[in-house]
Amino acid sequence: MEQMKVILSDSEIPRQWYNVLADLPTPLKPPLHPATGEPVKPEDLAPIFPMNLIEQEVSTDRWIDIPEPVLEKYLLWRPTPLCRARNFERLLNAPVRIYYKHEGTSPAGSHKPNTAIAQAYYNKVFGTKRISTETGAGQWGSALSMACQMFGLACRVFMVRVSYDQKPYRRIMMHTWGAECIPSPSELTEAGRMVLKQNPDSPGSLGIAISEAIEDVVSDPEARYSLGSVLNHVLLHQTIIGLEAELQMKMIGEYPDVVMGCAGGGSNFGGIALPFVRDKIYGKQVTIVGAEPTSCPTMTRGPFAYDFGDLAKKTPLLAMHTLGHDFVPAPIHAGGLRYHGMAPIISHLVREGLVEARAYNQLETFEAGINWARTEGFIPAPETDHVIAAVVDEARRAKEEGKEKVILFSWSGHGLVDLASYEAYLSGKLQPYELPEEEIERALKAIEGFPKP
Amino acid sequence: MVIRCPRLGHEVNFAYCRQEAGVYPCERVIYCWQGIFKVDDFFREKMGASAWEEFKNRVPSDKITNLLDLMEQVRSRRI
Repeated sequence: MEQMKVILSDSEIPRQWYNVLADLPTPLKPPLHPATGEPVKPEDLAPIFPMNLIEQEVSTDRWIDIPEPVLEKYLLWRPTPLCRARNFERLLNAPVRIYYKHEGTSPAGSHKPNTAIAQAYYNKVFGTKRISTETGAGQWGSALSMACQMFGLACRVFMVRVSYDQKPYRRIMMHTWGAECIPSPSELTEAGRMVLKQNPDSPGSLGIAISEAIEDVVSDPEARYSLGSVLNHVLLHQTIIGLEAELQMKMIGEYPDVVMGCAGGGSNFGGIALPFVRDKIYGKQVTIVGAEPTSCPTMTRGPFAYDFGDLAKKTPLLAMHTLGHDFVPAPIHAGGLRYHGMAPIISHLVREGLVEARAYNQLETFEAGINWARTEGFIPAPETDHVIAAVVDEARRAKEEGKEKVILFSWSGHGLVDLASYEAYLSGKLQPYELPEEEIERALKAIEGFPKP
Repeated sequence: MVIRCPRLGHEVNFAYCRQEAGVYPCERVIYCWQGIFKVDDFFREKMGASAWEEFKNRVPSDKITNLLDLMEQVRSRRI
């Protein structure tokens, strides 16, 4: 019988998180305070974060102990299995061995509780009574709601109004775990009231929801803010994924040629990738790839790659198509905006050439996700579909190169509360490539007068 | 016109993206829509060339700076 899973016992769970800041070849630039232009000091952040998490945010210690109460909660579903995707391999018919870290086994269905639990714990120790945050579709909001409940903290989630209306299930999950889930903009904050005064039908935005959450905690000395991606301490907590995967790969005598994750704010990607980034810094041959969304065609008409020099706004954005195809939209020079919302650590690693990003079109990602579901069974979250598309792409490259490859990726979450997105794809509602001119005219006319956020 | 919004995690139409930040579009609008239609031409016409160029050349502040900025805004509203 072929082995499908590599399981660590509870006692084998890693006891420390890995902090890549200790090993970066060049240090991360400190954020600057908008009022003074000086590097941000820990005390500047004290009104919104507990000091123990601020210390982690700026720490350069290589290893940070995972507190026992956090480990106890992790053990509800961790260590997560490392699975071999043999059925998907057969479908791809390429010289690859594909391993995935199944992060969809958490109670909230994604990798998000890895940091939600840690943050709730540190807030509890600090003396916080209530945590406030913002969420879109609710993956983060639901994970934090669960974590707060586990440590006896109140939780308030400002959920973008359009998401609140469209995505009821994660909202219900938040309520089930005892959190307050408030559609944003709300009457609860000055920021929300200002928006509603101008536009009572505002569908909201993440920017407005963040403003509300920050105002909420600044107004309450017993409350603190929590973020599910981007920040250093969030990526730190997620390294449990890659650290477990390293142990599991070692158990079966494998080491990945390619490590992949979907890269939104960088927490899932950082989680699987950072322990392998350390290996790469110290000389291991490993390719580390973050998969991100684009509207441009990619796999079916040729992979689409970018020059990352534009991050520092020094060189123009350069689009390259490696397989050749007939349509490459003229790249628009707005390189900085491409990285909106990306973790500084990940952006820094891209600049250092330790990590590369590849972008995939939404239709290709859903196609990959559906092929996954039809071979491996599990329905991935649409974000996870991005990395599955990247795996498909890497398998094609291996086939073209005639080279055997071991691929490891983070299967970041299940899609059982995202089925409406699959329905949109399956019913053809999602936009294909380049629309005809008359279709654009018609569509743009149809949306005139829609409410502003 | 509907696409999946990578920030929110569900489907939105272009009407949402074009005004996600009030008078400005979402900062991902180019990367989400440029493969579908000539988003550059559209915004140049709607916003005016100089405002659109200014938008495109923005470098978003990092998250910590953004959070501190929001804290300052809360404080200034109370003064």
